[in-house]
Amino acid sequence: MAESENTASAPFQENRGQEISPLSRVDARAKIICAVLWSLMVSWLSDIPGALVALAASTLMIALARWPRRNLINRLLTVNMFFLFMWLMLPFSFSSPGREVTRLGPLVVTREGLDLASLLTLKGNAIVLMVLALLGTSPMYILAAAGRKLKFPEKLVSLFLLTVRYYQVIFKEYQRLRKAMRARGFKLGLSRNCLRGVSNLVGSLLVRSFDRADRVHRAMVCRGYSGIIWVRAEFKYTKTDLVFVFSMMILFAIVGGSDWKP
Amino acid sequence: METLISIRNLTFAYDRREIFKDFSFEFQAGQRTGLVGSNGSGKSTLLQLIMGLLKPSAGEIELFGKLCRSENDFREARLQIGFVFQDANDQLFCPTVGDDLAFGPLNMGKTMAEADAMVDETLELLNLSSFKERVTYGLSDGEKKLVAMGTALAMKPKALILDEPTTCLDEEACDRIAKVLMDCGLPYLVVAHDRDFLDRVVTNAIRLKDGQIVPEPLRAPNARTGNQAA
Repeated sequence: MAESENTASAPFQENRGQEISPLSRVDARAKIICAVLWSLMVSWLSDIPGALVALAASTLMIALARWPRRNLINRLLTVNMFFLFMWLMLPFSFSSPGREVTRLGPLVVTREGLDLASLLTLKGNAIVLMVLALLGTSPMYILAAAGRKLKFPEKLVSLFLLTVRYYQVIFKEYQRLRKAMRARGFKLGLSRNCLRGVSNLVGSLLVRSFDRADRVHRAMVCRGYSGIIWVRAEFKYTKTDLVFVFSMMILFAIVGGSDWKP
Repeated sequence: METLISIRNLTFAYDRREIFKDFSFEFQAGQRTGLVGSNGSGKSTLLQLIMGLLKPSAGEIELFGKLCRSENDFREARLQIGFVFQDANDQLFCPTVGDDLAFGPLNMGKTMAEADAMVDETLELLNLSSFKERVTYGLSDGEKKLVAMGTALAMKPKALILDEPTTCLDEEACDRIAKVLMDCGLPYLVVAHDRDFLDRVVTNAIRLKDGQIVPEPLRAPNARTGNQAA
């Protein structure tokens, strides 16, 4: 099934880890529900110890998903770039009522600020790891089909399927255009000429994508398209799913309990 | 002989650029017709008019003996014409080959199981039985084209329309496509710039010139080799 070409830098390739991980045998519907519930619960956590437990649980799951380490690190770096900005702002943002830890020139670093930044970083990573472990172990189109079974809006499902499919095509088009630009001596920089080149590249990608969307739609209409993109996927709950849901409930209980304040 | 496609006194223009004026065309069952013409002569436009993807400003289009005016008329007729687009990437939009082939039959109201059987049958016909679960974007250009033809054939159409089926394909892929076409047992209308390919797969040819149809002689196989030598 994983006949993917050498599109190593494209994010939407067929998911890795499938079929080598025990998680890939779990019903995608159960995984979607658990991923959503997990994200909700973790985002409600209010203390660092609870968030640490959640992160530990997510790490356990990603280990179970057997996600390739290098790929995982790349993805986490991207996510944590976002948190880096929080670390640049939050520690200095509680100046008046906060407990002072240290000063950097005119800026006061507060305990509250540091705590909040750590809490957000822990929670964010816990959610990302769990979502990768759960959703990353099912092929994209199975996720789409599962979403349809879970009564997601049809437009959303179609959008998802078409995005997965055409991301590759547009990405390749982008690479082709970039190559053609390089062949004529283009080098990325900040000069006027260069920026014009980049804006033309983006513009022509948009126009081409728009045209392609039009052609794809026509081709679909020719085959009797009437609003539904069918995916051949069957869903059956098995014993594996029972074990999965039960384990997830235990994880939920542990993380929820560790954050419980009567 | 049954008339499959009949166009009468059709007029069509893109904005102000007139492509067809008072244009008429007929396509009979049993015909295998090649359509040639220079770039911009309106070949693709004609095919899209036939499929009801473009609206003429005047004139009539009759498909399988039924006058088609509204989108609803065309919707029914389309299911009987297998249309193969120039760029296979436009046609293949599903995650796997099997899904793509099942798309048309499912739209025709077949059940999953029926559609699945039609998929298997079509793949067998194309000698691509092992391709069912392959991810579409991972295929080579030649394979994509064959699968695109499969998506049309899977619907068991009464005729095929192909827009440039051999662009950017190597000789081997062209041969496979020619073979599928000749073995399919259906009438077809095919646009192609590759004359060698065209002369091989059609029984007659027409040329679009200045918005009108003129007959185009086919080159006999031996004459063809003579031409190449010259």
